Amino acid sequence: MIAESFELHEPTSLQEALHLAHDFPGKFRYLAGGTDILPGLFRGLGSAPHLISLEGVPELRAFDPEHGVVGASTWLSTLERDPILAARFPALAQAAHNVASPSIRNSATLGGNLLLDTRCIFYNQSQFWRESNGYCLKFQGTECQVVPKGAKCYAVYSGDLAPALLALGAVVEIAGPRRRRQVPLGTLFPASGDGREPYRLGPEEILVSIGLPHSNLGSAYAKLRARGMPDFPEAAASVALHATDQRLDYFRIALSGVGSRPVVLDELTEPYLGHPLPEADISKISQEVRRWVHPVANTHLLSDYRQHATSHLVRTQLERLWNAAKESTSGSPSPPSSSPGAPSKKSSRPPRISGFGKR
Amino acid sequence: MTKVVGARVPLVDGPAKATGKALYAADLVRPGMLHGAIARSGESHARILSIDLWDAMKEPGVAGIITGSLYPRRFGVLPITRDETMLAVDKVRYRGEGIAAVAATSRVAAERAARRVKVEYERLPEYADPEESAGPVAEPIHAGTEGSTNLQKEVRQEFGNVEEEFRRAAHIVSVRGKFPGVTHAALEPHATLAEWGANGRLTVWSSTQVPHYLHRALAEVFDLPAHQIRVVKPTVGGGFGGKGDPMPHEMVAAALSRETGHPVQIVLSREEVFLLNHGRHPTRNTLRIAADAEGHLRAIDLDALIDGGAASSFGTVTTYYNGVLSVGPYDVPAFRYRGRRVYTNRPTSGAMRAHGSVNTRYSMEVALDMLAEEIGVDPTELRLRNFQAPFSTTVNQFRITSNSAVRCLEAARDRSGWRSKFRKMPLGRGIGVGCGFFISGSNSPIHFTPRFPQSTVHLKLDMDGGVTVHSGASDIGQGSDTVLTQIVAEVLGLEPGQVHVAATDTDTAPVDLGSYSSRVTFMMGNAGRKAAEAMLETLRTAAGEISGRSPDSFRAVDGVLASDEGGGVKVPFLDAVHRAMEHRGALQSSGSYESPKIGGSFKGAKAGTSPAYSYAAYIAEVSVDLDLGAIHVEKVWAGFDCGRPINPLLVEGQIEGSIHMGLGQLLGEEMRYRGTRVMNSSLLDYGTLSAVDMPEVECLLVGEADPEGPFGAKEAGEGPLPPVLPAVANAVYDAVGIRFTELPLSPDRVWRALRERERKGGLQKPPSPGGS
Repeated sequence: MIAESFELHEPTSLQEALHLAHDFPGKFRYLAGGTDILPGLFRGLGSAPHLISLEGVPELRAFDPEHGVVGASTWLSTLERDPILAARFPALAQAAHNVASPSIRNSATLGGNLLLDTRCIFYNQSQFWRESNGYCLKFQGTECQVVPKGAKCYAVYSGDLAPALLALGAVVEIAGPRRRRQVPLGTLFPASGDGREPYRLGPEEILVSIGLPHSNLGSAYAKLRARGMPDFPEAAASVALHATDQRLDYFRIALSGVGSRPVVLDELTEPYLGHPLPEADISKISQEVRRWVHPVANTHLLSDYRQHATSHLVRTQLERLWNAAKESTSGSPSPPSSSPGAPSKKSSRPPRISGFGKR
Repeated sequence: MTKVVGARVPLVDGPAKATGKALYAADLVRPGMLHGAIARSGESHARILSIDLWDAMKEPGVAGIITGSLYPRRFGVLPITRDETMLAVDKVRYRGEGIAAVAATSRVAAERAARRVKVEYERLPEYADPEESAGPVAEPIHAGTEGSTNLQKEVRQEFGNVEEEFRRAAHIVSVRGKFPGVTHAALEPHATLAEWGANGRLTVWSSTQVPHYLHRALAEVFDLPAHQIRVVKPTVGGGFGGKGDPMPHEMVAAALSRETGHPVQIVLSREEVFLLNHGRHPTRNTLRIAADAEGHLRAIDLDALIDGGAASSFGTVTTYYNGVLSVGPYDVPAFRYRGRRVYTNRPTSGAMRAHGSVNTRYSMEVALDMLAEEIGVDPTELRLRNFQAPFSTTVNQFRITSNSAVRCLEAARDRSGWRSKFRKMPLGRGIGVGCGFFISGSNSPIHFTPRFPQSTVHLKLDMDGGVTVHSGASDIGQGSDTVLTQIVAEVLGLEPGQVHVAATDTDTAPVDLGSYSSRVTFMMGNAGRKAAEAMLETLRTAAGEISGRSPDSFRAVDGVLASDEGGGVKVPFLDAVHRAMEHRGALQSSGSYESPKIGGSFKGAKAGTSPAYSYAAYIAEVSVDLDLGAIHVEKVWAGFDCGRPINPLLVEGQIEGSIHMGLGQLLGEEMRYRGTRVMNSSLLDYGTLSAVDMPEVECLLVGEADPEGPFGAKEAGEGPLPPVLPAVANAVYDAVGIRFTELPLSPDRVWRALRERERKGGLQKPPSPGGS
């Protein structure tokens, strides 16, 4: 199906983009790579008479992997290919590499993937399909088709980058009409975990960049999908850790693809800080991960399998990362002393990398 | 030796496709062209009480609207089962069936108007379960089905004494298979452009595998003499059986053009392509085989229930094929079959690559693997004991000619290192075998009585020396234009670049039954060869006149007509052409192919008969992720007998493409339903395998020349598909000791089976033959 026509706006500065947004309250969507939002609009998933493209906003293209600053408009293909980023933040590079397909990664952006709409087999359908099926709780309808009497929407958060960035302790910089703010990434995803609200941003706010405060973590990302390409995750897990003298001083696990929001399992991992991670603990942790994972039947693969796979993905990453960490940590520095979650001064004003825009 | 035939000639239309210059039906534009859109039913089984077009007509840009009652004439690819109309008449039979169609100045306007069509329905009971449809139902989907059921076709056949063979059998093995429907997922969606000319003549450009069937159906639906209709096939981006039927939207485009006086183009959305379907039938089968103590097959007893969806399509043929294509590649003295095809309120099933043979083949090859294990013999050895002999006759009177099944299996076995791997690799790794055969074209055409040739090819040679070839066979991406080019070039001693195949246009091309049933290389190839040979005769005569040598002494090679007579002479090709043209202008010739009279005389005897069969023996090596259930196909050794390949490059492409398609069905593809509702009508959700999922494929083209095939060639378009599914399934059994008889083997389902086996006593490799 073809979308109703829309007007495309191409601002060249953040201020201009924010002004445009202000001019069309409730009638616009920001457009980054467009790889998810446009297919959605073609299927009648929402409407946006005005699309405000962020492609021409230079500030969003900042890319300084040395200092852990990545602009929201950075292409996923840049993230997967940059050697410095891959060396310092392997989970992010791996997550980017696992999104969709190469051609999509040449267009899709970091910000777009973070702010992905939630997905459901009853929602990601054409207008014709949804209309003849009586719509659903997420959009235009009143009843959930997956959990019929459910009060909340179970559509799945399916971003690949979020768990990697959460595990790495990322902060985000957000620009609004009146102010800028920096917050831990996790605060973007409402605790309610309702699929109707995939993320919480002010109506005109724009995600500017992310900051990665810890550059020496061992980290990894793994995802479950039915095919080698190009599917969204049916389950995904990212682990980041650091050990000094064989004791953990940073340990985070984050998940995606198994619920309506990405989750960080600090409650599970914090007790292990200050300790080594013997095989028994790895088993225990990967078992306990299941407590945070309760998928419902709204993707393609069976729910119990997705729960099992999450646990398995955590286990294999823990084994690998712990083995690497305990062998290489003697004398290596701890994570930066700045409090976790706070970006360095430098990254609050992301520098432009000359020549980047030419790629 | 041949020079052009047998060479790895790249596709003649490859550069145009690779550079984006090839024109598909959706690329075509005509002056004043309108765009059509179809309003589709949101109900799957309902009586239409009223259709309100008022709001739709008021939409800006709308030029015309039609409903089914204006054009109620039925059509269908088989003359015996015409049960489709271009738009629903009185009732709808599946969700997505067309109700009304709009022509407007833009596609957006047409779609907007189509959404405004309001329909009042009376809901009828929905039938989604084939078992239910096989019995008496409250509201049969089509009138005229037997005993108030939804049974569309029942086939019963028995040859030899099946009961007696089972009574005497030393071994009996049975398999119950369950297969969801899969669909073609050709890259190009269906598209049609129809233009009703001022002189009352209709031209239709359409993405079709069979221009001739579309031509016939248009003549019937619009009650026109066929010569008042011209069908043109532009570049087609894949068919796989999904573009073999005359389709409703093709009729709709023509009707809208007639109503509006403008050319009308309809391009289906991907969702509409899924709803049009005509893909492989969801199937439940029960297959029993009887064997003697040494493992020689004595009988097959087969029952198949196939879900036809809302219309007949090729389904009567499918019902036969599910049975009769189980009699090869093995020699079976007794065979019994009951096949039933039922209507349901789901999108129509039809023909899909390796039509009617895939699901039966799967059950058969799994059963053979079980038999080998029961007897304690290597499964490759078991198959070698049972292959049907070349130049023999099957129990149901198929004529078997060339047959290199043994060479296929021996080649695959030797190249794969089978003996050092089978039952010898660690838990989680396995190797398996699967075989098959397939028709090189159906011997009996759907339409033709009296018998006309199944393929005719015209050649035209003018003073420029270029050869124009007119053929009604459709190149739909498989490369038949390239094959025809090679054959003509070979006979006339030319380079392929001197031969040009004109795209199918029914005004200029002779009738050909199109690209399905793997008939093109064999039938069009033979017709093309004869046409070229007729042309060569004319040129030999001319060369004889020029040189004084006898015409019969000339061979055409490297652009000359060469004779060894009288010390030898070479007459340049163009000289011979010009001499021959003197006093009569451009040269023309024709060649045709008519298949021999073969097969029995009982009811349904023609189903599955073919002038030749391809043979295949595949070995697949897999690893199974014991933690996550994913099956990784490491490599496939594909022993294939297509006779002598005209173009090995294209044959390898067909084998690799078939393996991709077969693995898709095995590992994940599925038309998913909730009741009658398709749940995954997009390429993202449907699950066609990606490039990174493909294993390495080693093609082993070991066939011997077929005596009747053009230059010894047989089909290679469909036979390469079926063996890969059971080869991988048998390899999975070798890896983890679990038999899977329900598809797909998606990782979640494999994982569940692995866990269940662990609970019930542990995963382990199956026993070796001989009990070691």
